[in-house]
Amino acid sequence: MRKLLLILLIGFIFSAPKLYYETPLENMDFETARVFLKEFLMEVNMRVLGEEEASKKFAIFYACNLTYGEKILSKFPYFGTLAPCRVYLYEKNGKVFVGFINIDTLLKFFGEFMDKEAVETFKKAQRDLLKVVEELKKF
Amino acid sequence: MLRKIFIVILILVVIVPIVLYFYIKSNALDLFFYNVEVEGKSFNQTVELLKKNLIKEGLGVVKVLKISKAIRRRGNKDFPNYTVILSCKVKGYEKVLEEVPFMANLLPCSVAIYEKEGKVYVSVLHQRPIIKIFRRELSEESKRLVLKTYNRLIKVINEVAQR
Repeated sequence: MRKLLLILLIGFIFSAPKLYYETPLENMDFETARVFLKEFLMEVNMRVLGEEEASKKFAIFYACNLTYGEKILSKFPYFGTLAPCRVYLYEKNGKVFVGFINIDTLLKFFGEFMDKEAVETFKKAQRDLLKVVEELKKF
Repeated sequence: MLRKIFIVILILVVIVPIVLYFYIKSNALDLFFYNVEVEGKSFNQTVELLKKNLIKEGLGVVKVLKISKAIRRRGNKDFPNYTVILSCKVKGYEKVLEEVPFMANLLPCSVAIYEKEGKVYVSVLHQRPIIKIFRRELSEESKRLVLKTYNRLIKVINEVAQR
């Protein structure tokens, strides 16, 4: 009962838009976005370990920065449940979107369980991903 | 009388949510992560048995990421054993992702197996809080699929974790 109540409250507190970061890529078709997303991820040292084609217009990139992983996983191993980082791309109603987990939201709730180095590492990862989006939007 | 009503409203609307918010924060790890200690098996035995049982349960194995091996190759020889198995690529998962793309963090799922202070653990995300967060966007069918998949996943993990 207690757990159910807490789950309901989590659902209330975490409103859906905050748990993820998603943005449209104007003037870019799905296949072009797919090619360049992979390129730009590699430019920020996020190695693309694999790509999953969930459907013709939905791709998941499994990306990992081992330097960050090394700093976080040795001390806070449960975050491996979010690894590798999913950066997803999809087309809906003719528009292409890119999205990933909102690390700022994660840090709001889990930051106090981590040390300064881990928090800073997570923030760097968020900055890297936002840089990738910025590059995609410049196209 | 008015004063009493005001105090009750203040407690319900302000104080209770604040207390509950901090309570949730302090229990956030337990609520978002399912973490179990493995008994009587080494790290490698746990990984192999999980792979075998995930396939047997029909959840499949998409990829096995030997994270500790990769990190040690880069020079950190003391990095503890750590592997992530990507699984749960179940029939119908594409529809879940169409409804809520963020669910790509749950399907396929990441099963983390790691060693800490001589003990072996298996961790996965808890699916229920995330289903609650996206309760309006997800269809009933998708919710059922995610719940059913994770029930099977937890069953596999619990069976492997037992001696």
